[in-house]
Amino acid sequence: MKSIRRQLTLTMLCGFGLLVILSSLTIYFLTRIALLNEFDSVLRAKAFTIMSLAEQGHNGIQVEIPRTLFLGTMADENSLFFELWQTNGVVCARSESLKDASLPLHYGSQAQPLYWNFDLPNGLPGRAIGLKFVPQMDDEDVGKMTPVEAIVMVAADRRSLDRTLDILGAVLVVSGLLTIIITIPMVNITLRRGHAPLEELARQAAAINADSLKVRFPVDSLPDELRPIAGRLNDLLQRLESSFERERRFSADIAHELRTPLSELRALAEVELKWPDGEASEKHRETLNIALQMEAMVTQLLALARSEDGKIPLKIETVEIAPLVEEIWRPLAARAKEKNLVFNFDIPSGTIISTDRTLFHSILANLLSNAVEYTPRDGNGKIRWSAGAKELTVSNTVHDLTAADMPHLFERLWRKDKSRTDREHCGLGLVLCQTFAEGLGLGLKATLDNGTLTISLVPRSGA
Amino acid sequence: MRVLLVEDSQRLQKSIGKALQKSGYVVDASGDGEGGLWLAESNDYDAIILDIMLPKLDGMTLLRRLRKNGRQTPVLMLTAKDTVADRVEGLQTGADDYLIKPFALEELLARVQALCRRQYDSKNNQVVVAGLKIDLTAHAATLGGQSLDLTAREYRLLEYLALRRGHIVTRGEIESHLYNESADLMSNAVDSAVCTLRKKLEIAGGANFIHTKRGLGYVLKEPE
Repeated sequence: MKSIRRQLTLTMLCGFGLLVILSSLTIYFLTRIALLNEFDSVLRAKAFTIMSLAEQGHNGIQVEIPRTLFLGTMADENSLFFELWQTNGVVCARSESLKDASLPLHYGSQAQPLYWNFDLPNGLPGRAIGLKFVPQMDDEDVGKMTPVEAIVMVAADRRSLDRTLDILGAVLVVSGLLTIIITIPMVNITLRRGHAPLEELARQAAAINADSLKVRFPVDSLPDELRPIAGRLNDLLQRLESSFERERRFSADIAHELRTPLSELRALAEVELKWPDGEASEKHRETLNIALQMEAMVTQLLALARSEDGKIPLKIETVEIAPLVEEIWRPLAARAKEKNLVFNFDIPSGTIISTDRTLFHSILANLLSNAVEYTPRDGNGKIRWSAGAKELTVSNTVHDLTAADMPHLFERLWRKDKSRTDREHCGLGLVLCQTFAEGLGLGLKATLDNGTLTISLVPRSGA
Repeated sequence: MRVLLVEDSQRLQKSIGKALQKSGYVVDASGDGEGGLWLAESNDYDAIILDIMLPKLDGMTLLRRLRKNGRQTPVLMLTAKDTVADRVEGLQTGADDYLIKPFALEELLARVQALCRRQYDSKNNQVVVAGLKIDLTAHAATLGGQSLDLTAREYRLLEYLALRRGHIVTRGEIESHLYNESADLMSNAVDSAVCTLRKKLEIAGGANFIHTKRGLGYVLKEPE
């Protein structure tokens, strides 16, 4: 499993380890260069001393090496070696410490002497300088003698240098390792502290279930990095809470919707069995009505479930709106007349749209039947097609609908009358209309203005 | 026994009403909460069967107002809401019993009967006064082992007096427990009903169980 903490620990430790190694190496090599420079400058000083003492005479190059040459940092005369050569191969001077051996002939110029490491004749590790120079001569000899070139090489025991470098190396390795070892728990503790709010968030999130959707994450006390996450989670919880609430209400409503006709049916049958009164046809008619009501509800719920699953196949064709509205209105006209309703139709003839006739018919039939059913006696309504906006609107006067009811209008099984005494409508019509409309790429929009409810069937972008 | 039924489904109202009447209850019914509350406050019912989702005034509010006004009539909640929270809310509001739709008619009748009996501190389904035995479940009475031939109203009167045996029952109380809202009572309806019942008892056993307390009412007790 991926763990941010483990990954961060690993990355930080690797990074820190690399940093420690790099800085240790830098320290080591800088120190080594400094120490070598110092060692070389001592060698160079000794070589320059020999150089300054060498003098070209008539018998070649002569030099007198003082004992002080062996003083200084490399005081031991057995650990200092030198040789002075003439370029013709004659050795002019050499240290006693060389005994029978000789130094390898390597050299650079006076300005850029050559330094190298090698094993000293006594078998110890050493470092040497070699340079070519022109020895001085007496002023009176100048111009009389041809100047010859000489090579001076000085070598010294470099064990103390190596030891210093070894100690430095060991100190750096040990301190680096210690630093890394100490860093592990420190990184761990720091990350643990840093992650505490994240873990707290996770703990709170884990405690959330369907019954505790009212809980919100405290955003203010969180670090800046976690605030957007907690904010999004809170938004998600808000949405979940409202959809759970809607589902709960829907389930409760379904139960009530079906339980009531079921208990009617059961009570009717039980009373009839216990106290038969001979009015069989009346009872059968009641039973049939209850069954039809339940069937209508189940059919609508199924249609809703299917259309929400996108299982309704569409057959797109051109539909002329005016005759379709007329066809739907015909069976409703009697009821409208009975309630003394005045409905206006403002649909230009020849208005054609491209849609699925069956679904479009269902939507219009539902909207018109609702309009007739819920318009109070002596009220009025209007069915209008707006060519510009391509909107079909059904508006009618209502008497008990308030602005607070509007958000619930498209909720499943919602009815203004909570008692559901009205057995003809079960509160699924508008939801079905909306789902069907969505299937047709349309949307439903409802507005309430001065006691007039307007439901518009609009292109999806306007919904 | 007089029962108030507050239920918005006309069909259910009809079926339950018939079942209650056939079981010997006097039934008043209302299809909405406001009417139900008015009836419950104006009459003295032995039990109220109350739906929760009602037009105008929901059952819970009705019950709350009823209890607030001091009415202790036993209430049986009848509803499609079946969650524990709903039941707890109903019982905490002051309901005495809770029945979920759909229900068995027998169960409803049994529960209503238990609630009515509770009114009279009776946990038995039989009331015995000397040789007079009244079976509250079978709605039948016997005197000295012999069954009495009573009409439904006579039985109801006998049952009511027997449940309140030893206590004076006023004419008003008899009227409100034995006749429903729509009954058009003649001024001496209670007197003549008591007279008929007393005669039937006298014919069967020869003793006088129902004594008249002049100016007060009637009391059923062992013959003196």
